[in-house]
Amino acid sequence: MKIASVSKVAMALSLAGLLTACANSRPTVDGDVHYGDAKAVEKVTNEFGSTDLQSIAETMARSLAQTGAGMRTKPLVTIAEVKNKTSEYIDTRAITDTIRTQLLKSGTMRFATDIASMQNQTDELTRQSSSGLYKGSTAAKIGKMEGAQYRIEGSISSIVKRNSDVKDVYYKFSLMMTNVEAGTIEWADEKEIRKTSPR
Amino acid sequence: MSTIRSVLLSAVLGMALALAPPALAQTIASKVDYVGTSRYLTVSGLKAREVNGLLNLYVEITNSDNDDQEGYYRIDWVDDAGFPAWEEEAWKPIVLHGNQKRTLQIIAPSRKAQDFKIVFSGERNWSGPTGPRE
Repeated sequence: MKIASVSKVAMALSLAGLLTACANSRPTVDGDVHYGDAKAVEKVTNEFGSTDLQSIAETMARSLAQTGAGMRTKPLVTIAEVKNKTSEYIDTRAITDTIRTQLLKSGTMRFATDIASMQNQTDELTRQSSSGLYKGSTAAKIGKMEGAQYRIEGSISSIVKRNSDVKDVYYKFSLMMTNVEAGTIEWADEKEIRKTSPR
Repeated sequence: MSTIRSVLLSAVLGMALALAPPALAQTIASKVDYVGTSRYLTVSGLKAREVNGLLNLYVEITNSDNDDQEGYYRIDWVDDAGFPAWEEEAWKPIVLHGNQKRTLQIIAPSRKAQDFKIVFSGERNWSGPTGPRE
């Protein structure tokens, strides 16, 4: 009896051993997290989402690239503020950062330091030129920064409508490029998004 | 050079348009990758031209159903050597009303993008490989 049960256990163990030997261990530390597709269309709620950010940034960047490609020399541009006129929290800097990244990668525009990064820029310039720590020939000199020729600014607004069945949210993102010296608006574009969900 | 290119491109696609529908469908089909077999939405027209060195696409999508249908698209851009010219784009949703035709105007991300593939996913697909399951 004992021998029979031992042999059964031995069989079970060797079978388990065989199975685990066939299965490939994955390079993961298991848990409940699942990595998704960052480019997928997000339909979780009708608030401002990743797909809206991506589609706005792409449309604006491509439209700006088309304009930049038509200019004789690559324009030097700075990004000013994009106002959030909606009632939601929207990080408009995230949108403009993506627009700037895509435009820089496209090679159709150059960017000057914007207001948000100016403190870091002046700190670094002051450190290099005035601290006395850097070799004269390699240190950056004050008074040589290039001024932007164009300024990009805009706003995002929304209209929310509700009835007993449906909530409808309409976003409008407007962007324009102004000639800094002349004060004229050289380019403008808009992106509209509508999201509808059951109430 | 770019004028000649745009003339040639429109001539090729224009010729395709002048041919019988099956041949046109074949020309467009070579530029579209369907994810699944889209049941109601199809890419029915395609034009391309170069504007200031950037490829501009005009993609016509048709809805064969009477109801609203949603689809998702993105473009895979390729340079003249056949290598990817841009990162993976985000999927963009598109809604067509019953029997509507819509034309998407798409601008290439950079001058490196010399060729393209439209990747299209209809929200409603055929259940079998090419047609409805009997």
